Amino acid sequence: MRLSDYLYLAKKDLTNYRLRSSLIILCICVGILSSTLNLYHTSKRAEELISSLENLGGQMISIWVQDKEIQLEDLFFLSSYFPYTSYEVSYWQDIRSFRKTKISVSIIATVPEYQQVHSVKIKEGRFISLGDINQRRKVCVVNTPVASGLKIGVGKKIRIGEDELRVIGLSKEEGMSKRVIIPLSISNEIFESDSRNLEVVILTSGNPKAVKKEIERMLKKRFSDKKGRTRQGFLFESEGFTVSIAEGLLETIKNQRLTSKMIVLGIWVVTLILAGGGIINLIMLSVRQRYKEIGVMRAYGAKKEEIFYLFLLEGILLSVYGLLLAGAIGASYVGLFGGCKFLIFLRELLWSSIICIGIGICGCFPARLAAGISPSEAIRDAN
Amino acid sequence: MIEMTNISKVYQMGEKKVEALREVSMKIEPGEFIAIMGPSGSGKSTLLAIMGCLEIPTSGRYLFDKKEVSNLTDDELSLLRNEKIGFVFQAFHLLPRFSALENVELPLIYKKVAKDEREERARRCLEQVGLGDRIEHAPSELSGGEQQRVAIARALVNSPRLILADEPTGNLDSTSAQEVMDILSLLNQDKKIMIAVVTHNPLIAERVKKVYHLKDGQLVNEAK
Repeated sequence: MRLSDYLYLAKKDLTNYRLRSSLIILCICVGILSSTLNLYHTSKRAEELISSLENLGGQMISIWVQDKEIQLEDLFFLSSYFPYTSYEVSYWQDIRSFRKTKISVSIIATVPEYQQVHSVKIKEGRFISLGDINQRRKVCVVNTPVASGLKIGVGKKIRIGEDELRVIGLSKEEGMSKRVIIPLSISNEIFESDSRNLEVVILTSGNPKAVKKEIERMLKKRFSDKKGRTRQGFLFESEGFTVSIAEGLLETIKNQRLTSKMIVLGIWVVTLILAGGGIINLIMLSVRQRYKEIGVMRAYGAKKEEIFYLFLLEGILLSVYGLLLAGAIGASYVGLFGGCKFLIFLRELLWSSIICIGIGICGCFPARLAAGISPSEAIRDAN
Repeated sequence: MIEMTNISKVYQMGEKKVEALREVSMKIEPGEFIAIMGPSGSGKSTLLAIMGCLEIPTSGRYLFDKKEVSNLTDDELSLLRNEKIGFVFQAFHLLPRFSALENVELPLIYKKVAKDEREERARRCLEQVGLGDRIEHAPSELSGGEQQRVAIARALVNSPRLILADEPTGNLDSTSAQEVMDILSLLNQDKKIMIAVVTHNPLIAERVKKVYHLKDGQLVNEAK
């Protein structure tokens, strides 16, 4: 039998069970769509992060300060070794506009180098300057989500607690969390020092592993000397500092991808059970109802394998229809709301289509039963 | 030519053995039209199934065009049925989702005939049985006599050497039965196709050259 004839016969048979076929197609579509979109969003986010890391033109090294006795000023010496060093204190806080609109944001008190280290692009106005730091000006830079959330722009004022800060710049961080950047020098006036979260970010073009080691050595030497006691052994482990290079971030991205793949695996298993079971059920029913037809087909020269492939193809066709439907809905979603990354979507859709193979294998069982039907028995029973 | 020598068929029903055919021998020459008669359960349908290569005899020798059927594989049997045998059933057994034309095309699909040629040959066969104007009709839109004529066209489409008809007029009124028998007789005379009909109807038996009577799986006599 030719492939075109297999398709012709299989399509004829499937249209006979329109409702059941549609439900199975829908089930396959939901399974493939949810797994594909899950993978798509994880991959898109990962690629954006990787691309922004690459755009920095160097490697970022973060130093998280865990020792409460150490102040950010104690680490200023690092700037003399690394020109692109950003000192950051971050807080979570509610801010208000003068219209009394209130939103929860991440506030980062930092220095002008932050802009270069984190590649912050300014859409309107300017970034924090050295003058702002030295003169302790109550100014801030907000990103787009904050500006649109509070309906404010450059020149307007926001309230953090009792303090009023003038917006001097609008940054182009679309799609990011709500963020307000203020001069490092005013952070002590606005926030209690206990609620701090200190970080130093260094942008280096050198070998990141070597630079990391060098920073660790410098920190150990400086702080064990300063405190007059040996802190080696625990300083960098539990309560001192955590020095990490951006590779750690890449590792996090990889881990996120792995988690996403595990979720997708779960979706696949559920889809396989539901759709695969549905296909077995549908084809079994079809085999039972077409028992006499199978006998007639065999009497007129159909080989066992031709009957097997015909029923198997019916299962595969349902999977393919489900895949195509998921592809069409998914592509529309990506085009309208998902950032138009069609290549990523297509790649993840191909991944998800693995499930179709599994569902196809489910069709083997009833197809084997159909192929094993004795033509004379089928015809005799029908008579 | 068909030659059966001492054909027996035993079915295993659980622990019980049922002998459907016992030592049946017969010969059908090219162009012969025979009828097989006998009461229910006498083994007529089993004999027809063996003749049509749907069943393999438990013992005995069955030669179809000098080829020993028992030695053929399942695929070779399918090929033999497809190329040399046509079936006509009492209940017509047309595929309900297919039109008359598509039903007649079915054996040609298994022969890998191209779509255009398939349609052309199926159309010719339907015209031959007087259904040239009903080709697009579904089986449910045809009368019993018309459905049986579609089934005959389907049996005919691969130009078989043998047509096996199991009670072809059993579900038809007398006029339609007459028409179906006329068509079968014409095919036998014009195309020299061997035809074997299983029937209870003595009027049909009167129109054939040879009648075999079966009783309890045995050939009791050969009339005419």
